[in-house]
Amino acid sequence: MLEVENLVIEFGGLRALDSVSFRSERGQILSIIGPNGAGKTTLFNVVSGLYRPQSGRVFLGGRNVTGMPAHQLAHLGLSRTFQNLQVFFQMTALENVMVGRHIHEKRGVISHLLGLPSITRHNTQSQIAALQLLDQLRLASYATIPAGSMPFGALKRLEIARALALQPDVLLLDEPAAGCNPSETAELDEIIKDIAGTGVSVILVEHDIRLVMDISNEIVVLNYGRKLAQGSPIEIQSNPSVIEAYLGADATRERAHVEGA
Amino acid sequence: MSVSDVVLLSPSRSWGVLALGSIIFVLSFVINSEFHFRVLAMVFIFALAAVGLNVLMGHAGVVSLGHAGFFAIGAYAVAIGPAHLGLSSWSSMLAGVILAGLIAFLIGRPILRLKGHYLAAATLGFGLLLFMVLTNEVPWTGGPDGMSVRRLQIADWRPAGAKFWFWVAGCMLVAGTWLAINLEKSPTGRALRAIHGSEVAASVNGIDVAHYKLIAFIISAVFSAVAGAMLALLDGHVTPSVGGFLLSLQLVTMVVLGGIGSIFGAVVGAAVLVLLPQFLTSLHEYEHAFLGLVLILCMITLRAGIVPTVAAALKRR
Repeated sequence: MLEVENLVIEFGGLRALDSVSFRSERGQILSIIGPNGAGKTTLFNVVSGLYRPQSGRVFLGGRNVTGMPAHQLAHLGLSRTFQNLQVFFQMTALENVMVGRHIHEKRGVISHLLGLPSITRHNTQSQIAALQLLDQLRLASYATIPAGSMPFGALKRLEIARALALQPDVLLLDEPAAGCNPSETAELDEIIKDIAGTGVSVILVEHDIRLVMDISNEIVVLNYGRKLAQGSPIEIQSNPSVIEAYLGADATRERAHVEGA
Repeated sequence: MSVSDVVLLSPSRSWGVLALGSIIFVLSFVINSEFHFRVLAMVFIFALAAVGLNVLMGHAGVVSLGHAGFFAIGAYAVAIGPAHLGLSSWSSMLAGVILAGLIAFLIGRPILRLKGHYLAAATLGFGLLLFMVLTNEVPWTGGPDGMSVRRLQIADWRPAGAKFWFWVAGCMLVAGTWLAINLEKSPTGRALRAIHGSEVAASVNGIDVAHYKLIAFIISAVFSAVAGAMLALLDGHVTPSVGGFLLSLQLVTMVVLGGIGSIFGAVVGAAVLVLLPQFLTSLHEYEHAFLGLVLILCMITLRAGIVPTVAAALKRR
């Protein structure tokens, strides 16, 4: 579904991404791991159209979308969440998810100003779809509550619900488990598997190694902007260079960090 | 919560429009002096402009410090059209409103790329530029003294008096409020509020941020121009002050005071800012100081603005 070819991006002479390539498949979970500063979020920002790469190409469903702005990529079926929450705090949970349906909604400002009956009907359809998603992510009880007064773990899931409302082919999840407690993380495990089960290609950036190893079909390891290794969870766990760079000492520290948070 | 509860989630704010209309209707019986009709017509006119500006400021989160510019385009259109171009007042008003929308479109495209203070400075620049044009183009605008506005004519009837404009402005305000409420509940309204919340998140959800900001800018410009045209026709005279920085600032204050993002807040904010000076005239030279004090106290005690603060207080009960 998503294919990334030799991506390079530099910030002030520092190569944040150095010739990174991979491809994701329908219904599969591809995880991207690596120490802090390895370029994981930068990769997401390039793929989702927020940054423009110096060189390299991004293909979405076989189409070259390199450098395309984010809002156009959304129309082509790409959706994402954010590591640092990007929730519409002054809107209700339901409205947040309804925004995710933007590309499926009828445009036309004049008809919106006049509140034509067809718009009201569409609004109701959007509400129903959004409410079902809230229900799916166990957020239904927050529907009419402003997002600003929701707890952190719920906001993480709200971002996922909003991203799903777009009905994406490719979903980028940026550290969905960060700041979540163990039971919330266990819930996420199920949620992400279910999403992939519907045929979505899920690309996951996550520090919770247990979650990554549990649900990934394929893992890409980044280190200093370069791809260090790629393979199944078992292959990655036994890869000596990965253990040295990341999984060895760091993994236990990361885990302690996550559990302590 | 189940899907069947969805209907409950869309409280019909048409009640608000109905209430506003009823208040205007009742007011028409309560008051009887020409002066009072005139003051209330001004409240409705400025409220209309504030409701429009709220689409831009409250929903899209874009501050404009030059909206009096669009107000003045509407006002001068009904002055210049009949006087210099031989147009009727109606077609002048329409032309002025279209012109305001067009200018908003043209200047909005480049300046809405700017962010925060830079954008505010650019809108300020637009307002100042327009003020200079109105002051200096003496043959067209009468310069600093302004020019008189030909009275409206409907067939052979020349409606006179403030009561007529009380009704016209009242109806326009109800219509404008109704449009703004429809917009707020629509996909466009959600897109604008999303942009206010997080531009990055809005764009990854498929919202073309620049496009929607431009739409909000044009809508608010059109509302301001309609209001400006009505004020000029009510007054029978325009001066460059309708395009001045003070008016731009007053429009922003109305939106903030009433409650940024609240449509009825904009109406209340306009009412306070127009009516308060009328009550304070007895204070003579202390009037402005007192007005300033009231505004400061309002913002300290009612930080979210009058309407949202009161609404939250009522909900807590």
